Amino acid sequence: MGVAALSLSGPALPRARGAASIRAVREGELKDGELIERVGEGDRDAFDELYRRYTRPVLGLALRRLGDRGRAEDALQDAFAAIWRSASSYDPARGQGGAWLYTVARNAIVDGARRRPEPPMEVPDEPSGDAGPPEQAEASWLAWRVHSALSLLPDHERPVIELAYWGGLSQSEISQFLHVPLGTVKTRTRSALARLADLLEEEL
Amino acid sequence: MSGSFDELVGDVSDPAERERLRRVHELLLSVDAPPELSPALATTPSPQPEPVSSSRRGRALALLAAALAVAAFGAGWLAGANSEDAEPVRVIAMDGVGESRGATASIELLPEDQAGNWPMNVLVRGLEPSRDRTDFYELWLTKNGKPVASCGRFIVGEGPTTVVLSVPYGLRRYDGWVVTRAGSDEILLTT
Repeated sequence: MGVAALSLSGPALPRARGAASIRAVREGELKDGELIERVGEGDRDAFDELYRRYTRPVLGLALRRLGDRGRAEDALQDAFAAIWRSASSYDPARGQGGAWLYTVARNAIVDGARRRPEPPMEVPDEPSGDAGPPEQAEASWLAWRVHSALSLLPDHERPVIELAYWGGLSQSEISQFLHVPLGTVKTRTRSALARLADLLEEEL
Repeated sequence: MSGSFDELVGDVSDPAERERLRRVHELLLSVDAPPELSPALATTPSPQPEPVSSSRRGRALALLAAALAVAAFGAGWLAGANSEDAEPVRVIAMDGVGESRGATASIELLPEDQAGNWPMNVLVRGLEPSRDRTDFYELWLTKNGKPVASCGRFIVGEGPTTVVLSVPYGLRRYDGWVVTRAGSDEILLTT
């Protein structure tokens, strides 16, 4: 099943200062906050779009908290149910949509872990689910931001980044794997990194 | 990862842009890979807008169904799960389906280690040899017949192939095993 293949595109995000040169979004696409507001009005299409953008960040968050794939997938369902229920309370004046989604998803995952603790026979060393040290919280937030940004890369750019950074493949191997010329792999890599720099400007 | 920052970005004449890309590069290196998505997660879940009591009732029914499936799957190996030697606690047979009809595999599930991992020896016969190392096969645990938890990837050579895998999952949560090939969701081997 290789590299996950979510169809990706992005909301309007601020251009980076200075050398930013690659537009991160397509015109007319909605920001996370706008999608959340529509979800709050019961818009299923907006909910589908949020799910498409945030499945992997939420699942990654759940895996880091719970450490078990099955429980994390259950928690993913809880998190999106919570997003659906809570969306009408979202206030864009109080923060960006991505941060709101992170908070709602994290709380749903922690609450779910408390409601449904794993039997000791199955997972002997269960994480508490409580907020960890500041370093863990920082790492969790960083991973959330990076995974969210990855989900906003175009379909043709995201795989080269995932294969290079987490697939252990060289540029030549990526070229072979994706059946595209080596020069194209290099161009896409550079373009994707620039786009990620725009998307992750606040973290750099 | 394979390769350096210089190899990845090539020549960047603007020092400021180069530094910006380098910081992104380091940020990517600092985080784990985003999780793979199983086919079961491909569709948006029901947002469950019902009242809590209704939702809990539905969840209870789902848990009951899951418990029945788990009981059917787990009963066999539970008896030997406390074994402390290296003998398998259970051997699981897999058979080829579709274009891999005639292929077989066996999973020798070894005793759970102290850290909570389940090591296993997997012997595969009859699958088409991998073309290169990107043409891997993948062993999955299934839930309701759908592959949901990856147990690892392996390359198949000519003749029988044996690989050693280990997974941290609570196995009783799952109801079977399947093997797929890179780039496809088609099930090639199943229990």
